[in-house]
Amino acid sequence: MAATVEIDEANGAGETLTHGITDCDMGSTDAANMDPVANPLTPGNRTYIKYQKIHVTAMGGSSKIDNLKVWRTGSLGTGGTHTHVTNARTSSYGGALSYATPVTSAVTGVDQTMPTSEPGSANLGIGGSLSGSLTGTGSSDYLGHQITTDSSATAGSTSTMNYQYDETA
Amino acid sequence: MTEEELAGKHIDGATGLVFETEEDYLAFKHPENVEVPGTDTEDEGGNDEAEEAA
Repeated sequence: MAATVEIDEANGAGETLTHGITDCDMGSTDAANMDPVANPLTPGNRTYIKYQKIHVTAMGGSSKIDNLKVWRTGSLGTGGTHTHVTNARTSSYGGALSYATPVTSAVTGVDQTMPTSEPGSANLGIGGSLSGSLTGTGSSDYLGHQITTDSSATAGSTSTMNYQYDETA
Repeated sequence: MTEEELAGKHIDGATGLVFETEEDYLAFKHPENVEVPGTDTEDEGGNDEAEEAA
């Protein structure tokens, strides 16, 4: 039996954690599984930062989860400039990202361009280290990510976030 | 519930149920992993004897 893994997202000043989110829509409100139609991003602004983590809720007989990788596939949209920034990185990792009330401004350490293909090595840590691992239930460091736009950006685009891990029997 | 009331709590994304702690959430998600306290009849008998002696 395989491990049970989900993606969680924290929101609000009180770090309310929603387990097993079903989408990663980003826009003008701080909420898990948000509705991007009801909460669109006005060009020239940043989305609310997302604080998400990979959560192992059961090992299912496996002995280790490690080598966490996150990336986006698909373009961000046409017109203007869009940038998807994150704290995920394969080198010079800044350690575990601390949670803070999600904002629409730049966040220290969340300044790397989100990869658009599978990274060659881990880019999200466990316990503050890219070489960290889980041998029981637990979570990764927070993945912080945010989309920035300029005034020429056009509304609406669809892309996919990928979260990958290695599982050792 | 208000944002203040949800502070620090855990929401099951599938059902919307709210849990006070991660342990409570995990017990809901994986009831098969929750240890059920066993009954040790020999120990209980010993306690009974002690109570009777007292």
